[in-house]
Amino acid sequence: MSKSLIPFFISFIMLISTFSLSAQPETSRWSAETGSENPAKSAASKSGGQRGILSNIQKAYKLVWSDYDGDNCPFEPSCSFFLVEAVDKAGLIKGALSFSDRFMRDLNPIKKAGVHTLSEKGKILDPVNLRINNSQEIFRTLIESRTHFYFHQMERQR
Amino acid sequence: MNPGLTFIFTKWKGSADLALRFWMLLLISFSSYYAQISAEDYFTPENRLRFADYLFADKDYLRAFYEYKEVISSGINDTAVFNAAYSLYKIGRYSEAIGYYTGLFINRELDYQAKIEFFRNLYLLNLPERFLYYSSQSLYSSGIEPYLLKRMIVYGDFTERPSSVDSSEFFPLFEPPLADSIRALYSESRSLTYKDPWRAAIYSAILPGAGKIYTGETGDGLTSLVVTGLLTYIAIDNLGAGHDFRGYLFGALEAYFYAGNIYGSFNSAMISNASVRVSLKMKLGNFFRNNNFFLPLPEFPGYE
Amino acid sequence: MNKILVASYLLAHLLLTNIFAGEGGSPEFTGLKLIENSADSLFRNAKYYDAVTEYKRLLFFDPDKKNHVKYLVNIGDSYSFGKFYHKSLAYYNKALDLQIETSIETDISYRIYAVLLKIGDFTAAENLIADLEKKTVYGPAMDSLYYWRGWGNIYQYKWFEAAKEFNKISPGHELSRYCRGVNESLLSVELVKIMSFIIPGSGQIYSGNYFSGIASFGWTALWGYNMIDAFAENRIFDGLVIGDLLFLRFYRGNIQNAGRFAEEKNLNISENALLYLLSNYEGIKP
Repeated sequence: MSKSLIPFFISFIMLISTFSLSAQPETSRWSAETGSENPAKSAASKSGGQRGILSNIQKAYKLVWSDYDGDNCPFEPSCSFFLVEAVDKAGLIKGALSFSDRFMRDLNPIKKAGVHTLSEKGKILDPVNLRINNSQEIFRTLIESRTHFYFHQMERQR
Repeated sequence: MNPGLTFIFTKWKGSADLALRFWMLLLISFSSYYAQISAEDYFTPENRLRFADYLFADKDYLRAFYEYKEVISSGINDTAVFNAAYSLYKIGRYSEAIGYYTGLFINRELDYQAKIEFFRNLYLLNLPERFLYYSSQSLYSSGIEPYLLKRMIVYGDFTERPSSVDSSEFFPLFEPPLADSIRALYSESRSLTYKDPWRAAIYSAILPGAGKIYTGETGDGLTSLVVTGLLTYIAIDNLGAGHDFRGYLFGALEAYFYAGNIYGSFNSAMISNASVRVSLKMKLGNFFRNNNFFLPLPEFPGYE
Repeated sequence: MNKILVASYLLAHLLLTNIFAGEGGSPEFTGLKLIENSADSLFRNAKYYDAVTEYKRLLFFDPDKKNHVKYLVNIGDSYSFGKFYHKSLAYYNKALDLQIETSIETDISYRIYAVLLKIGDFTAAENLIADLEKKTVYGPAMDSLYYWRGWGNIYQYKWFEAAKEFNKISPGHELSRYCRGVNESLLSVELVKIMSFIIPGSGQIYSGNYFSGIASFGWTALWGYNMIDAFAENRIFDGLVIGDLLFLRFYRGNIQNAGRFAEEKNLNISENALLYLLSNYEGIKP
């Protein structure tokens, strides 16, 4: 028997795939108002956190500038929002460094060539959690995005 | 004869109005006739059980569960309890299923399979402490071959940290058809190529973008090289032409992007490693699931 | 006297029981009928989950296959109301598998069509109705074909085509007029883009986004002026940088925005029109 307790994280993935294997199972009594619910939708929703002065600058930038200069960013979240979130999550120095890295990736003319997970709007998903050098966060985000991607494909097949 | 009719014909003699008696007779006789064919016949435990089995075979597990529950409430029927729990398992209500399985543990015919299903559901509940605790309790695990539970635990460890698993302990737990696949997965887990984040960072410090090329992001690497190179050129050019402010401005920008690229290379290696691990983990997880957690399925037909 | 009464009672009893027994138990008094009544009442009161259970019970216990079509169709309807569309389709198809009359078959086909519209599988819906068209020849049936195809176009927000289909039923059809009205209130995306191409911001203002229109006009005018100024003063490099990085960027963004606003507005109009029809239109609807 192994010494450590097993992090049964793996079963989390299976738990999800159980539901996706048979389309629209009835898991509890339903009424006409609730009907069938999609577990992917509730898993995908996230709430925004409290942000400071940088967020206001970003909002102002969006209001007076980026709303009018066209759809230039191929990533989701967009570069300005990425900066705000990265600084919020990882501090000023790490946030600024990851922003410069993102900026250079944006300049890469063949960035669409690789294998990417695309969002529903067709943008390259590049969440901040992948870019703040926290291996556990990266791991969790990748699993989340893959399961989400899987659900997205299931939805399309339906 | 209907007891109501007997009463009227034998006991109820005397002064009562004959017409009333006539209508009473009619009423009672028809009420008895009516009762013989009422809907109750379709809700007897036997018929509910038949209907529940039909729903179960039709994969309508939720309704099957509620029918089995009605059957159980009018008298314990082991198969009904087992099927009720199995229906709950099929719709992902594992904790409720566990409750039903424990009811079958003592002195009943289905106790072996009930225990197996108990551990399957417990595993799916994702509570490692409880899994280890119950697997050590004889009330829950007696009768089950110890290697069945052990290989679930060891496999869970294997999915979490493939490198930490001792192959001499791991392989003997699996029989021939499984063992070959397990060996293949094991050797795959040992031959994964990881990128060293520090090495990527140092490469990028020496030549901007080299670390990214090392981690497989060639386009990003070349872009960083061009961007930093261009900024350096502009900075030097401006300083040489006496435009000090512009020179320092572009120099600072160059330093910023240079540092960002080192940071990004480190990060890129981490992402590459994580994605290798995630792929392996999902593969191992699917293998586990497709083999029903290495636990035997019920032998009677209808279970999958 | 008593004997006569008893005899007449027995006669009545025998006669009546024989009548009922002779028909193998009249459906009015059998348990199945009671279950069916309760299922129907659950279905009418929108308790669809329980209605499905009772109909499935009937499917299992009722030996008379003639009744099964109704049960299957009602299960399909219940699942459709509960938004379990794929289960709904499965049960409609089971009903189609039974030997049934053409008119009922057509009715079920339209139910399947409606579910396909709700799922958004328009190709399958179109294929289904094309199959029905091959079988249909006479007037009223053609009318319902046009009617449902019209609804299919409404679900795809093709209001002009929808109006045309309803018009085939009768020239002044209620839905036809409504669809034409919606179609006329839609903006032309191309026109809006061309407006912004000629005068930056005008397309946005035309589609109702005044602030955005003014801001776009301001930015393009500012950078356009700066660019021309730079060229006029022979600062070619500055002119190129401003023109390429700022003026063109905002000019392009201005056209993109105009198109996007028009598309958003059209989508909004279409969504509201469909919702309005679904909640307020009295006739048959998906």
